[in-house]
Amino acid sequence: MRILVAEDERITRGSVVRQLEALGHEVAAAADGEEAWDLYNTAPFDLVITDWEMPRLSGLDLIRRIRGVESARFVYILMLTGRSDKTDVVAGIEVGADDFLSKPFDKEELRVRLLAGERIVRLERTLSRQNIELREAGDRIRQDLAAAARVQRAMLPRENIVTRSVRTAWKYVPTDALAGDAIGLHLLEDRFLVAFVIDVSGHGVPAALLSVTAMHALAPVPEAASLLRDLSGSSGLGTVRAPAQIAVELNRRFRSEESDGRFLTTILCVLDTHSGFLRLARAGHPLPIIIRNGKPVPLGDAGGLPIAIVSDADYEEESIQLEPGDRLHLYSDGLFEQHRVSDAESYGIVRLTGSLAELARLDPGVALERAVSSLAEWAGCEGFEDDVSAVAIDWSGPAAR
Amino acid sequence: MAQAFSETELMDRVDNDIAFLAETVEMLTGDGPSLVADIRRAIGAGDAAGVGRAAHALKGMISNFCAPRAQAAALEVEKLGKSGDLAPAAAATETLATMLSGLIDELNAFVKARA
Repeated sequence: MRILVAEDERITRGSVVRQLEALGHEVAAAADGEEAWDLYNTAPFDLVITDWEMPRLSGLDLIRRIRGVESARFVYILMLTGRSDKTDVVAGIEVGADDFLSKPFDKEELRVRLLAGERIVRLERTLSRQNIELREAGDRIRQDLAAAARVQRAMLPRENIVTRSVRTAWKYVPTDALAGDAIGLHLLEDRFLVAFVIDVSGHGVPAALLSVTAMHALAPVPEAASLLRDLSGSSGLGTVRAPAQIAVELNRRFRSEESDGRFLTTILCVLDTHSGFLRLARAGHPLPIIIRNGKPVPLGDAGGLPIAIVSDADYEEESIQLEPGDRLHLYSDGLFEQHRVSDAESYGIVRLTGSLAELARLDPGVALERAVSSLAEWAGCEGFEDDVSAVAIDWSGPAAR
Repeated sequence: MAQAFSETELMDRVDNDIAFLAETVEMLTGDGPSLVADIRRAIGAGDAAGVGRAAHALKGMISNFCAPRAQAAALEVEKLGKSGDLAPAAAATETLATMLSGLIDELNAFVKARA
């Protein structure tokens, strides 16, 4: 070890240095605290042995200075002193000494105290190195997560769909860098608006991976590989697959045994923007909310089990004829299951419906922003317990063609 | 009269290195009486803290030579200085000076005999 000795009395200093060198250590010696402090600042030391009473700067003040410096390198400090009074020991430990050695020092005692110090120094070094490695690994993971989050966000709708008859908006607030929620908005064949919200059970990377895989499966590629497509045209929606059939196919793709016990809920809608005819299927997902003339429209509760619970699940489909001026909301449960910090009360679907009804006259994007900020204000929290996803679709009536 | 220091302990302490011992005895011979002079000066000036500091340094120096009686005499002066009670300090210092002088003589003789 590299050891710094601070001792004003030269015979003791010489004896300590001699013993330390005989034990194979590299030693620098100082005749007082100030000289020791100067030496300490010129080269790194593993261990400092310091006398208590010294001219110019005492051992206690030297220790205070050493411990006062922010340093990643741990230094073990041994006080060499004639004092053995308990209060002095306490004072030394309080300012940062690690151990004491009484004068006149016993060379065997010095040797074993150094061994103990060396063990601590080695442990501290190992810990320090592992902390650095851990921090670097954490940084790498954070960078990877940030990159994955960018990929995930890139799969969200790039822009809102605005036609003569329809106008969409969406809001997405993940709780972590990666979310289990996903949103899709696709206008196919210039007529059929496919909208969906997905909510994967759990959080973090596994939920996000499942969510991204589901988004891929529901990508609006023209090929038959897309679950949104039914090239046979049997759905009555052009080449767009019927929502209940999309749910069936999605469930086939995400077999429970391959999803690591995770499942996802989803609501899938296909709106014929020309006629306002809406078809939807739910897989364990909350009902949509349709606001008409400032009031919610009662809806049936047709649906089915979440995706990846059982194989060969069937899904009921519901259809609704929208009226001009209707606003359709799809959302994840994070938008109404949030608890209030003050009393743990849940926001609930009634409050959410009331909030959306009140905001129905506003632009859909503004309305969603306000709905989410109202939830945060009500809950009294900075962040939400669960991912929050919401879609608003305004249908203004049949478009003149 | 009993020897002022323990030969066995001292030789073990310096790993039987007589050359090193000779060096340290030379230091004690030079520095020890100077510290006694410092103590006397401090007593004369009524500087109790100075008495304590010089006696403390001398006590540390003596502690290297396995000489418990001289070390105890230095400790006594140190305590008087630190307590601020200088009345008995002059007498205690003379006792210390005598013991130190005897220790230095014995150490030099010891080193010379083994050189």
